[in-house]
Amino acid sequence: MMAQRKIFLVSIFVISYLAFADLIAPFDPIMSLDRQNLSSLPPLTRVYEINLKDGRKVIAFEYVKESEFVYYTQRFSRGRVKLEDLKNVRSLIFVFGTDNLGRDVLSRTIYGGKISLLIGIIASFIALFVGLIVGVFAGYFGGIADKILMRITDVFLAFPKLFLVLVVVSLSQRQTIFSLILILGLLSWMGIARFIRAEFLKLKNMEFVLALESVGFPELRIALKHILPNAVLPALVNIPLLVGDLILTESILSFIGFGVQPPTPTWGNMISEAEKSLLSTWWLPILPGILISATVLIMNWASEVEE
Amino acid sequence: MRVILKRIFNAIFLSFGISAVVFLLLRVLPSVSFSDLYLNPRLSDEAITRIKSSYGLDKPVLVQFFVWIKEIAMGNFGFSFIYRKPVIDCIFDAFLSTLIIGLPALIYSFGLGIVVGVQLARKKGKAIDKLVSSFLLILYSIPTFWVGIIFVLVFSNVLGFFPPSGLRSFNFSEMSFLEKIFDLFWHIFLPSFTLGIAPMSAVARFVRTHTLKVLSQTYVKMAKAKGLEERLIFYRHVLPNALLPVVTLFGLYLPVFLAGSVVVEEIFSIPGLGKLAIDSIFQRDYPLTVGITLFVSFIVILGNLISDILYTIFDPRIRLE
Repeated sequence: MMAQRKIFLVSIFVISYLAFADLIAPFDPIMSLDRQNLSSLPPLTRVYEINLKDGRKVIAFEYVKESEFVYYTQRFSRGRVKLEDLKNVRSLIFVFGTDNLGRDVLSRTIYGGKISLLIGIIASFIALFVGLIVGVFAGYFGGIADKILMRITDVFLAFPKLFLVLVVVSLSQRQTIFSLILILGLLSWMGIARFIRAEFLKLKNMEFVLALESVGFPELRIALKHILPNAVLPALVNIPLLVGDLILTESILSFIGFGVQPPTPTWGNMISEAEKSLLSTWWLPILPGILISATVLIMNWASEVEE
Repeated sequence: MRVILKRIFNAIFLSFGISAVVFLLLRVLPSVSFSDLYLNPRLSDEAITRIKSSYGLDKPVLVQFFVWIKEIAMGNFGFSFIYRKPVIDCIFDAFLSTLIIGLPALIYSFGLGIVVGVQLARKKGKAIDKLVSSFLLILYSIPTFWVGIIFVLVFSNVLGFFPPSGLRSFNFSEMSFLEKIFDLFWHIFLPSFTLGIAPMSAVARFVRTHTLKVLSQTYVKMAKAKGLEERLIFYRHVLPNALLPVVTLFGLYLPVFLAGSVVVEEIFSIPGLGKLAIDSIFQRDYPLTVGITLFVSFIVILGNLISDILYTIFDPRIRLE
């Protein structure tokens, strides 16, 4: 399959995921229905939500309906309600269990995936934008501007990225998702800038540019209208790779504790929370980890150049 | 020789540039400046001026910058707030632990990666090649910290084969020499293995692609046409050329190893550089954070320089450029 077609497929998949994630998630990812009774339930646990006519809800693990009363068992207590107070009983299932605050792991993973993907995508578009500007400047003006810009690019490339991100994150005082996106984006433009510049240098010497110049087109117009589109398209192939890389970086940051802060879930901070109680709740890290791997795998696959 | 000199000059420039960027970050981002001193009502203005001048902050920015560069060039990275000793000492202590798990990982990932990559290239197009190649891509995509957690869960918590954390047992001091060595290996096995997985698959994939590229060159066809034995062509003529660029991978993957060691050390509680960096950030020990970042960057630049120089020595084609 051609890279462009792969990217098209992946983008459709990602966009539909972003659009429907909230609808797929069966439970609220941030607030638990019942924090005490639902905490740390293993996968495939079935519970019952007993709805009363006055609007209250009771979580039960079992219940028995008798002539007058409904008897139910919770984790720490038993109780009964009168039959005439009962509205209905809903059966709930936690396919991937719940975490220690009683939230459904599946819903959190679905919702967290949305956050992780959004961070990866927006940050890579920031990187694309900055890289484009630097690359076009260097490729178009050449000479001393090119030298200076490429030297700066080299310096930023020489940093081990995770450490640079860590330093900037730690030095910036307030931490929001937005600032995280900005930091990630502003520290990942180097590869794209180099790529665009190389494409520019290649295209500048091609016949169609010469033809346009000889007809008397202004140089800036040639650069922006004729060379740029030809340079951007091949650069787009690198975007999924960057998105995958940024999702990994974000998850590492969140895992260490410098990324997105709870209660907002991302795959990284879910695994980080899971690490604290690994022995008792082994099911917590499984699903987010599989999904990070799958996402990065898809992104790598989309960018893979055919031999 | 000129190429090597150019590379060395470039490395020095990059180190200078990195120091400049870090200096700028320290200036631009507000949290490290001493502005919150003014909020303390018990500090007089003179006291603040005195504190500032003791840190050299009363001098012009450019002078501060050159003082900063000079100190770094002399190996003075500052003084840790928390540990109360020079940053460079903290770094060296921790770096040893990082090396203990990093070196085995480096060796096995490159060794295994090269072997697997070469064998895959020989079996190109066969079922096993497709299977293993896809598996390598999957391995490459799995985040290191997740692998680490799953390993701890399975091999330490459930099966009990390996210790879940630390570098030595609690009765380490009572052990005989051989026991000590065994104990160390027992402790570093899981972290090293975890750390090496992603680079291993990357090296294998790189070697496979590159060997295939060399295999398709005309001189190989020529050798075949001459009637040379297939094995001989492969091991004598193809392999040396195919494995040459692996030297450059070493410099390329150094950051991957260092980033991996951050999470691996965090998971296995190993007192290495990565763990020190995380702790220093949580404790707001800025000199240490900045020192580690600079140190790690210099290591990466040095690694790149060494692999570049080795490449120039091994491959005469580079020297002609």
